[in-house]
Amino acid sequence: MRTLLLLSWKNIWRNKGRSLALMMAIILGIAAGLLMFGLVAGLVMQRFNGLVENHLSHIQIHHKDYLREQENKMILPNPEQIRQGLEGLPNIKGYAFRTLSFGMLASGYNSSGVKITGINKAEEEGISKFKDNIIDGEYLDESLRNPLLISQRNARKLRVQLGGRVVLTFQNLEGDLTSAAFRVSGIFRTSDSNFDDLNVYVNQADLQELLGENEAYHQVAILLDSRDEAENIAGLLSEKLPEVDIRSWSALSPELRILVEQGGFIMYIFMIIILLGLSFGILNTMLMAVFERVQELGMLMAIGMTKVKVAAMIVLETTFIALIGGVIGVILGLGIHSLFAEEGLDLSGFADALAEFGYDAIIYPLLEAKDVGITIIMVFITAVLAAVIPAIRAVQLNPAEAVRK
Amino acid sequence: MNWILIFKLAWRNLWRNKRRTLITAGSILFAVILALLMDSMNLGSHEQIISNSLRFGTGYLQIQDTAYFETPSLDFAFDLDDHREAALNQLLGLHAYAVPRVESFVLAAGESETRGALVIGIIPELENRMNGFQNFLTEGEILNDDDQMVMIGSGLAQRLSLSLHDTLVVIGQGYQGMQAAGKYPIKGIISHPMEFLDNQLIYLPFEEASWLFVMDGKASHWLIMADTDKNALRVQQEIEKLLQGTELQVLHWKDLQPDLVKALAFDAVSGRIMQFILYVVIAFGIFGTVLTMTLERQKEFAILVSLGMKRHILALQCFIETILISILGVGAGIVLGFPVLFYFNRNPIPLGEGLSDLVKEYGMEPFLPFSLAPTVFIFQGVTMLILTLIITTYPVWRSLTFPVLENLRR
Repeated sequence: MRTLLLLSWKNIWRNKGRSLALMMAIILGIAAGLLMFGLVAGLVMQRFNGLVENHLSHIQIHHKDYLREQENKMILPNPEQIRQGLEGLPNIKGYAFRTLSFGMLASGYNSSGVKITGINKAEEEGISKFKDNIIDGEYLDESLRNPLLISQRNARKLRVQLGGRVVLTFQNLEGDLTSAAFRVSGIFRTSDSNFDDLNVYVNQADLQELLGENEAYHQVAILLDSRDEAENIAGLLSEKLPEVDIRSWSALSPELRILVEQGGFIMYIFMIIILLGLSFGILNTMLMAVFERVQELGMLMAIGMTKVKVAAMIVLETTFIALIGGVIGVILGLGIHSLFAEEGLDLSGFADALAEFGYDAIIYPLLEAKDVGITIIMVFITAVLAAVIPAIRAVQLNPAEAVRK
Repeated sequence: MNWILIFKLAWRNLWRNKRRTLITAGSILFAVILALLMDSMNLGSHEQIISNSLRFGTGYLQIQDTAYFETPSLDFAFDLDDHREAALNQLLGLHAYAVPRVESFVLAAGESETRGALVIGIIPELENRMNGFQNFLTEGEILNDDDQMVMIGSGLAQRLSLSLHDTLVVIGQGYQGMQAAGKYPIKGIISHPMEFLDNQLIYLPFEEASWLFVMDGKASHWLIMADTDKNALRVQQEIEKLLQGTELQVLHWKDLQPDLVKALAFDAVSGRIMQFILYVVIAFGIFGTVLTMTLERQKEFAILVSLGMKRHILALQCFIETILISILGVGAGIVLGFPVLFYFNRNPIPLGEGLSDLVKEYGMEPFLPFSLAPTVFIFQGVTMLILTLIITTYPVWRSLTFPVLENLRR
């Protein structure tokens, strides 16, 4: 066995050019694969954090039927009991009670369907970074009567400016239509243009007054220390508060769950195409190498090397090349990755395009040990599999004829 | 220099060792097929996204008031005079057609619930020609032009607790601040593939919608559908002439959806990066094969040179050989790749369960679509030829510099 290892090792360096070409292919394949994996995972993570920090949070509490029917009158029963239930739970960073209404936003020029969220600034502070999205004006200026936050997209559509007047129309808790004038206090822009089209923010007390109930809340958003705790704590809460609907982020946004679970799907297709290209390169090069070395292989067999050993030798050679290429590839990939992981990859040139998909302009690639492991194993398996056919061809040689070539 | 002789030599060399030629050509063939697959998938999804957003959204072109793009308000509704409308229809010809629309937000109410909804005034026949919305009908019937009835999205129906033949009430703002209110029986319920539309969609016949918003037959904008983008661009120029002297403008979908155009450009760039990585990996694979092939023939080269063959002629011969092999590989790759792409074009790969829901939410079909556009084949073929041309430098360089004596004795 030692002889075989030594022999294969020496064989690689007999033809440096060829081995180096194969190694380069593997190095670049692995490095590029890792980088792309990191980038995609970074994008997914960024989208996740963006949604969670903007409005989703980790857990939300609603009236039993609210998420299905979304009617304004389905307010949370007994908010005081919910507050008590939340006290003393582990891993909770903060929570906020929100008042919601679906209705119509109109200016003198135009109208648009929106979801109105009534927020309590002090409570939101603890769980959301929505404030950072305000690009003009102030975050619900208290000195105005009925202040409102509108997205840049809607402001353009309705032709309103800071201080401008808009009218919100929606159903109050009695089921009657109610309208009220609001003043634009601030303009926001998130990285998700669909969200921007559909959302406006007002002060909770203003909205509650219009709904006709000072303790009207539709939603409690809860932020945890880590997203992994969400299922656990949602379960704990459900036991304490059986008469309301409590869901974790994965149940609230199936889209997000799929993104987190299957975001790598396209990457795997890409990796498979790269690996197919790689395997065919290795296969052909090793096959040519076997044909070039017919005489030598015949000689080895003639002096008594068994067929198994000849085949093993070819496979081992490929394995060595894959190992060297793999190690260097991982180092290179991780090196470039760590370069971008800190600074972030600045794609500002595509900022609007990314916003169409709901992403920010600077991407911080993210690589998990699992992805690195999978990449290495996939490349390694590919290399060994690609060596099988050349090995079989080598074994099929007839020593007597091969020596004379 | 006897070109024909060199060419003949190269050609015969190729078939002297068939196996070697076929393996190298096979490398290239395989690479071409992979590159084709990747490019076709990329372009295919772009075509799908564009086609969806044109059919369900903006159309290829839009005629609208110059202020409407910034502020899509009914106040900027307009009427095409008979002369212009006739001229428009004439210049559109058989390759394109015009669809007038009325679009506005209203409050829609059922028995006890009220919420915001989007009224779209349509001419049912043209709408169906544009996006086949008839196929999404789940209950009831399609509207007629003179109906005073509505079709609504299934999501909206559920949220307002309405079913077929119930009455829907709409209240909104009409032309120049007029009050717009009406009540309509529900003639049909459609399940629109784009969820956010399904939750707020109300279709009214065009005439009725125009009456509801007190617009007196005006349209908020006109969509122009064409069979190809090229035709759309051609028609656009002529419409521009037609609209001279009015307050109206004609906009291309790329002007109407700048975000989409940028998103596609971004995706195209990331697609090209992935392709570039694939090329690099493939190139080293092919290089390995060519390298081995060259080294294998050192003795043959040495004999030729010692017999008096000029090195540069030998280099030329190597060059021609490699080019021939790559033409062979690229040609075979395209010939073999076409049926593969054709198959996937007709039988697109279905997406995994979870992912397909996600894609549906964006209004796309849950498949990985493949494109058969000629540019895919041309671009990949040419790129691969250039790639092999770069690789050819090795055998050429080698035949110019290899040591004769050592190799003779091999």
